[in-house]
Amino acid sequence: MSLIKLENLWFRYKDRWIIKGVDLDIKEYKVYCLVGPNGCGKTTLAKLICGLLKPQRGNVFVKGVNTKEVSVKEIVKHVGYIFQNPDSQFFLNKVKDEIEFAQKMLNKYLDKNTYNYFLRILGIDKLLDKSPFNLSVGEKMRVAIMSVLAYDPEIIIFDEPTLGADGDTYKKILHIIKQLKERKRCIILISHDINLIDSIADYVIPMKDGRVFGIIRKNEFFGILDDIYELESHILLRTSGKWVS
Amino acid sequence: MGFIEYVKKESIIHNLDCRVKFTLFISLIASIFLIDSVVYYVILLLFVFVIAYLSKIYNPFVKRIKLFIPFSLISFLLWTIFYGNNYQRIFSNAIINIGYILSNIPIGVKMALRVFLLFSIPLLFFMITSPSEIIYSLIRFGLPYKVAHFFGMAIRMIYVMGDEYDRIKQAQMARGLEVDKGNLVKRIKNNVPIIVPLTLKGISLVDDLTIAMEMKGFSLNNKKTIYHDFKFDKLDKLFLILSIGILTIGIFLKIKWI
Repeated sequence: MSLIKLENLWFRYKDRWIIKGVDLDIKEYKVYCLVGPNGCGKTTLAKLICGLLKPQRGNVFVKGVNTKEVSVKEIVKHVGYIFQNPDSQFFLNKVKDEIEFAQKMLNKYLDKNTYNYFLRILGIDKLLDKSPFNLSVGEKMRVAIMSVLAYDPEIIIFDEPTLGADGDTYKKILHIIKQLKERKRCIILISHDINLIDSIADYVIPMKDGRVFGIIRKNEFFGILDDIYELESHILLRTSGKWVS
Repeated sequence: MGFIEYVKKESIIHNLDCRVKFTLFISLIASIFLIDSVVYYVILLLFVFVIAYLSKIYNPFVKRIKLFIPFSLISFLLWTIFYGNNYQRIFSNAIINIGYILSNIPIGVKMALRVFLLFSIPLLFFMITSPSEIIYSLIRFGLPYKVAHFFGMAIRMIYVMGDEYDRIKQAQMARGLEVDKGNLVKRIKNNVPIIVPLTLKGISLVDDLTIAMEMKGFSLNNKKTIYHDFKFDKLDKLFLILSIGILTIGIFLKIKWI
């Protein structure tokens, strides 16, 4: 059975079509990278997958269930979504309460050992009694990630997790994604970070102007980078520090 | 959000001078209170629809004002049943006095129309006037630059906060919160996880905006100029005369009735 299946998906915001006929079938528990230029509809597609937005045409199936037919709560039990800006979700006094909020809401818990292990990996085991409002950007991002991982969803969408992150946070996020990959979770990563894609992705889903090019292997992706970003790919690769053309 | 959002269209009403639009808006609202007649309210309602049609926003406008119908119905019922402040007449011998209530129907209709107009006219005004036009017209009316600017800023903040509300709501829904479920008390409780970040975000947005404005020299006391210049044409004059006419007739009738 497909984990995520998109059938001729169309989504319009006001008068503009943002998603234009996307077909996608994700079957394996692997790391998929959703890449494309700004404003091509990556975040919208992610929100459609977790049921926060409903498509005007076409269907989204998450583990065989149509997102139009069930509540968002039923979908997010399977799909965890980590927002680009974690600032907008904190409202409780303690980091611990923030992390447990989704667990209690969805009545779904990660086993205690893994929970503690993930806390340590993300380096927030010492922050549990602090206020989430006084944390740094990187710490907030890690708390937001933990608050989703705490209820153990099978599919996890990371929306630009490394945006504005320092080296330490970057390493921790990379580590946690690797751990999730080992534990057979399906990860959808929205990122512009070539280094991150290279070190972690199994497949790449290139997107442009509301359309998806299909699921391709990581190595093939670097060949079509020009077409997606309309840039000289060697510039991007050179900045990543790994390849020099 | 986007309920009272400006709808950009190329139409004769959109192209009117912003001062004229502002005057028309003020005189229409004032005339509702000055002229106390069902016939006038019906004419005014038709006029509002004509303006919406001329501004090419008829369909979105009608779609939005449909939401005001429940408010109108509530005011119709309240005024019809309770008008006159005489409960003994409403309940004679513990039986509802139908005759008295029926005699109140004209007042109920009038009040329902009045409430409907009081909602729809500002909506129409905001749909055909951009926030920057409102600021320009206030400055041209002689309001100090800063005061006018803060007024416009407050209007702009409504849109920004509306977008922010949607974003935070989505973030909390992604964590399993069901905002639109349960009874009224539960729904209010469910909104706490949205209101707290929204308030904090609002404060930080205002803080950022203040710093950005300071950086651009907003607090300097030199004379500010406006990039756009507005010229009166024939249509502007026509609408200006119309607005002043409505206002004059309203005041005249009010004095006569007193």
